[in-house]
Amino acid sequence: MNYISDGFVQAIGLILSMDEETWSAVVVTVKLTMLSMSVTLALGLPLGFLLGYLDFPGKPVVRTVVDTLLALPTVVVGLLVYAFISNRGPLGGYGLLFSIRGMAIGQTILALPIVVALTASAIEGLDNRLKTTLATLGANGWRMAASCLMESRFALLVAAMTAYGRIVAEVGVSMMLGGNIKWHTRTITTAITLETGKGDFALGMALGILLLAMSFALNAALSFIRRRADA
Amino acid sequence: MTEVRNVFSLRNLTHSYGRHPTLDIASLDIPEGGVVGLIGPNGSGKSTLLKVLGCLLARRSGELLYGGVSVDGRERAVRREVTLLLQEPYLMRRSVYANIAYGLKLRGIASSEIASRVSDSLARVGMAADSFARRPWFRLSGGEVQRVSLAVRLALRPKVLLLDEPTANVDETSAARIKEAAWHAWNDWGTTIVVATHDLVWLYEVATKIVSLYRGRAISDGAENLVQGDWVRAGDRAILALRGQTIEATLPGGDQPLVCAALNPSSIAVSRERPASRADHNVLSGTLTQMSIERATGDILGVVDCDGVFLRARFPLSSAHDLNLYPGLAVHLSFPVSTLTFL
Repeated sequence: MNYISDGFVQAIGLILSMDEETWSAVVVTVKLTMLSMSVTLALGLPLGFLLGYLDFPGKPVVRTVVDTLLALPTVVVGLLVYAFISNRGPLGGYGLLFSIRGMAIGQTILALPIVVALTASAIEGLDNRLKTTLATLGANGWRMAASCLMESRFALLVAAMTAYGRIVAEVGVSMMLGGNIKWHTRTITTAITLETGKGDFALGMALGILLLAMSFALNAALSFIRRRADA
Repeated sequence: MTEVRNVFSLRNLTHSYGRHPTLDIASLDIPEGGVVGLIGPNGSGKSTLLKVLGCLLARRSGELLYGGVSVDGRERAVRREVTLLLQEPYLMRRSVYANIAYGLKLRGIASSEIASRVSDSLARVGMAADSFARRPWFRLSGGEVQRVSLAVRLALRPKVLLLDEPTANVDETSAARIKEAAWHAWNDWGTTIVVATHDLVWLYEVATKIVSLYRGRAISDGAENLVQGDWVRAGDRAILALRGQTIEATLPGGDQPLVCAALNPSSIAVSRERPASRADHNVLSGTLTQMSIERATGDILGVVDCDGVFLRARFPLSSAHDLNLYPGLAVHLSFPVSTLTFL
């Protein structure tokens, strides 16, 4: 059992000593997560809003497809995107394979259904009286739509956090599309996988602690913002 | 003589939810600057009518005029001047201030004016802006939500204020404030008020016109008794048995179901002594339980409990004085059999 406690102590040391390899994985993770989240939210929020707000023929079918994609396996996404962005694929000429942009494509495909489905549910779950109330006050068209979006802001925050959780903890896509290249595409999760395999528990633990700390800091910040908004 | 302008005119207007007809109004005028009361049992179409007037529900057929012009194609403009307080009001997940300011911002009103209107409208519903303006939506009681919701509408200075059961789910204090605020809106700005309520005593006191609805139809201008129960056919009469007495009505033609009969309060005579029995008249005994002044006519509306059936009788103030009528008094009601009309 000593290797666990020893590893933990060494992990703290690596973090405090600003170990370059450790912090390189952190920087890559932050860059990748920001890119993936930006694209996911930019596409997912409007699509989810339209899915929840509008009634159109075939809506239940679209909803079922989106819900099914929630269970998309990471390795399957990795395989499909790999096929498209590898040299032999239709997007092979863009140099996306083993790059952060290529990894972001895979992570976006993974997280998009989460944001779309949860946003649509949030909009559908709004109180029936909201639209009538807005109409009685003179709102219509885009003002009504924007107000509905604003009313569901806390649920949208949950959607974004869930997508973040999926992206930041993901290994398969990052490994297959990024190649786990040291200093370039090695993320916290792929580094943990590698270091654990090599028996370097200290580095693995250090990265794990940093990953949890990042998530905790983000959740705490959002919780603070929400409390301020409620007050 | 000043011509009364109608803010709303309805002609042959119908509305239905699916195949189920909910409104079928042949003709109805809402006079500008009036207080119009909508009364009727649950499901009679009061809320639906208010939503149609507020251009929140599309009618199936017929004509709806606002200011003498059809609302078709200008629903948005109408909604800027006509606002509805829902029976179960909803506040957005924002502060009280932001809720009240919402409609004002839509109308492009300046921030300084918004601040003063928020304070004014909160004061009108008996809430101090200092205490309530910054309060979030979830820190309000049910009565406070209702009052803030009314303040939201009052801040808009609407030309027509539609109120759907505004005092149904609130305590006495909130109810009093809501009634007072509605009255002030009418008095200060000449706002036309259309209110659906079961608070008949208040309604009779403030309404300049009362419309009785039953199953989506406007059955009369004025308070109307709706006598419902197990009517049975007996010869050429329909009879409703009360605990110790009966009400008789002329049997309607055809296969019209005997469910509900309308009885105009003006056709009921009230007396302290029991009148002589007549074959073509109903004579009922009961207790006078309530008396109120009917603003629309200037007469007294007395409510009489006849073995559990409450009938409203309309009589002039002089009669009330001459007969020395007061609540709690045992009285007798008399009305012709032919005045009951099955709906």
